Amino acid sequence: MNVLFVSKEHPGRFAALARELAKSPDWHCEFLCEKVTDPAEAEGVHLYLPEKAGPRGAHFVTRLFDQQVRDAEAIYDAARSSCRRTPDIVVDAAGTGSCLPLRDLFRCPVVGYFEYFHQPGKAAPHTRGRQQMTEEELLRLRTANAAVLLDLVNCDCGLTSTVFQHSLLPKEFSHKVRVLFEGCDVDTFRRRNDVPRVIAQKKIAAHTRIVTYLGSRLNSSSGFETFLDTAEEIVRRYPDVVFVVCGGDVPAPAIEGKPTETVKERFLREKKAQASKFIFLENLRARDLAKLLSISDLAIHLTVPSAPAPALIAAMACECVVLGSDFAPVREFIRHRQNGLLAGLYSTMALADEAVRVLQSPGDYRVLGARARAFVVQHLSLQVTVPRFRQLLLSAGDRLPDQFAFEAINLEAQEESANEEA
Amino acid sequence: MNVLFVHQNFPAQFGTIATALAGNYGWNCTFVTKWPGKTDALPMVKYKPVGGANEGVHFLARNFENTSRAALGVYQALKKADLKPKPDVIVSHSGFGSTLFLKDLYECPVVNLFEFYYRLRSDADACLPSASMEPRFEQRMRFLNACILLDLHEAAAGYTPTHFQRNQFPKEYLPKIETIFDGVDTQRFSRQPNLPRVIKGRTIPDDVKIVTYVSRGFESMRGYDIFIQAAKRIYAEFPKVLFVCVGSDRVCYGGDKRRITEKSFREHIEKREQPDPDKFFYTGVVPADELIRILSLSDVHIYFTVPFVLSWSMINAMSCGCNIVSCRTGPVEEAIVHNENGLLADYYDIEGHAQNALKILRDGAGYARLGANARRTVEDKYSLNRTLPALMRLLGRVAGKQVWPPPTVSAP
Repeated sequence: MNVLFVSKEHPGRFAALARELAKSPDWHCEFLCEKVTDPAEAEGVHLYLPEKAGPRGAHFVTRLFDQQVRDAEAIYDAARSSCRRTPDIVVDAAGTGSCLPLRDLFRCPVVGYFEYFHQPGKAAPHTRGRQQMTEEELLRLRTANAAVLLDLVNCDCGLTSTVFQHSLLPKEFSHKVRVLFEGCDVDTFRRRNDVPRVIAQKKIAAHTRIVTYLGSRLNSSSGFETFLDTAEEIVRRYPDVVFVVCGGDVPAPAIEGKPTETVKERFLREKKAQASKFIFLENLRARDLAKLLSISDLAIHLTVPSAPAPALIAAMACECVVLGSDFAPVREFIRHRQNGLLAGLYSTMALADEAVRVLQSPGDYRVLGARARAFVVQHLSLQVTVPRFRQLLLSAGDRLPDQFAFEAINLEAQEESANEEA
Repeated sequence: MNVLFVHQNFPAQFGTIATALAGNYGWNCTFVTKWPGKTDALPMVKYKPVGGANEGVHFLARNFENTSRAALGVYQALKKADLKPKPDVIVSHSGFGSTLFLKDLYECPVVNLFEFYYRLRSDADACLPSASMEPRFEQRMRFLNACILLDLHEAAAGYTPTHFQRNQFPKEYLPKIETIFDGVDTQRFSRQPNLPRVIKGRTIPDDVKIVTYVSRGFESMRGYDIFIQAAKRIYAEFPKVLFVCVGSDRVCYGGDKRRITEKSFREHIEKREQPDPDKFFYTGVVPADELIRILSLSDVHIYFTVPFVLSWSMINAMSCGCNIVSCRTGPVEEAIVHNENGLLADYYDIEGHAQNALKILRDGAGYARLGANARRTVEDKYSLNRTLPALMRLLGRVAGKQVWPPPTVSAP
């Protein structure tokens, strides 16, 4: 079975899963991605190089679609020239119309991953944090789903990581999309006891508390602005603390052709005095992230209602005490005071209250981390998700070789009997 | 009921409907259009697209760019117009006047007319074997539906003129889409008896039979090539015939021009087939009343289409009681049953089409029932009397208002 994964970055959401799938005989996984963030994982990865849309082309409200089309074309070209094996199935983790042209190249089923379906007029205020959205930004949300809809129609079946993400999709496609978390490698993401307290070559004193911020992107939709305000309040109440920020800085959308300042840039310009308490890390490898999480006293994950970052689950697997924003997608993983802590995203004081309590006596909260790991091992580990994925990939579409269809039937039967036993 | 119609052209699909709703039922209809034409029948708001796709936009995204820019133009024009009262429902043509951004102006539901959903390697392509597409055009087909899908998602309901067109859409959206034909004014489009045999100043002798062919553009999608080949067979066996071709020498649908070196598809086919020019009379585009006169003189009306949007001209010809010779493709077979209200042959069956036409030309009286039945079909299924109440019920339902359309309606 040859599986082609298409994603923006590698290793990304499906890397660990692919590694696990490829351990089975006759399963081969290849990746097409735009960027490799960990050269050690470049085996079987092919790059696609999309042409970048210029500011003089598409209108502001359609620029996203213009870029998605360019991505799709680059994916098509790279797939044609680079793929060593003809795929039996394509898993499109980019989820932005990128695999439409692949239909012309490979006559195989496509499984789409649907990260987010915009809700214009509903969730709009969240996407730009406290800054008022401009009229054009609001209008842009109306076109933002175009490529997602193309993918929903064209894929053979779809995936989301959470029930929340699934609930955002048009009801017409609910039947086509399954909720299936991609899986966490709990062997890599486990608490390590002998990790030196050195981060980015900076030694952290034993008495200094380490607070880690986990966000896919350092922007409003990852609650980064709220985190910075919360950090300021935490420092005021508990000064012996260092903040480690994990996540890529992203340029804010240009307005009237002019690039705007990122949230991080604005923070570093406005709060120079506080900057010494912050360490910014980008593109952490899985093992390095696990080490960082092992010495963290608190991990903060704030998101507006969108897909939680995989790093949230990684932190839970590393037995971190996690403080998350009290939104539906986060509540799917964290129960307040049972396996983590929750507070309202826009309530800086409430977030700081919870954080400071943990920092004052971290030992009292360790039990939350232990329960978080148990939750991940039981529900979200690769050991749990890989058989489900294998079954999904084997049964997607109707053009698979017979021996694989047979395997899919066996897997279904096994799962049924396991369910009956349970 | 306050209805806002959005279409780049007037009257197009909505002009007759809006005028009838305003004139006969007192509905408050406003039209937003790029080309208002010359009418004071309805309040008009003119819009201008916000620019257009340029070289900087990727080839595959240009359709989306143009449609979105038109939708932005509609949004800006309506924002400026500040309509009062605000619409209870918006009716729009998805593709020719997208309502993409109007939900940011009005809270009312949108009903879209969906004409076609593009499918790669569809039945239409199967009818065009010479139409092998360049890869980039094949890829473009994959992205052509982007705006249509956004409209499908946002619309409270939609409708298509034929079941065939409806069936092209993704099955997930079919429950949202009804089949309601645009509606023919059957009082106007009816056979006029005893007309002088004069078309655009040309007198046609009594002993010359008239075969009509009507198409907005002379193109392969509408079987112009099939028509010319069948015509050659017809006049070879039945010389006393004149083919009256109404329409323009352009390509409205499909990519004919990309596949030929001549200036037009008509020129390409004439060069290839060398038909006798004396047997053909090209009228150009004619006004509706002139078309009705031409159709009233027709002994046989030939209509071909690949599986695509059904042309109004075929239903208009049926309404005028014409004897139709056509092809067995989905949209046509929906309206015509072979030997009941027309004669059909397979799309590429040139000999079959020719023989069907010859049968009628040789025995007009014997086949007169075809035209009479065609007229009845239109009265039963495609007349404004039938379609307008259905559309009124749909608009009333989505707007949450009770409407009571009477059983018969006539255009004002």
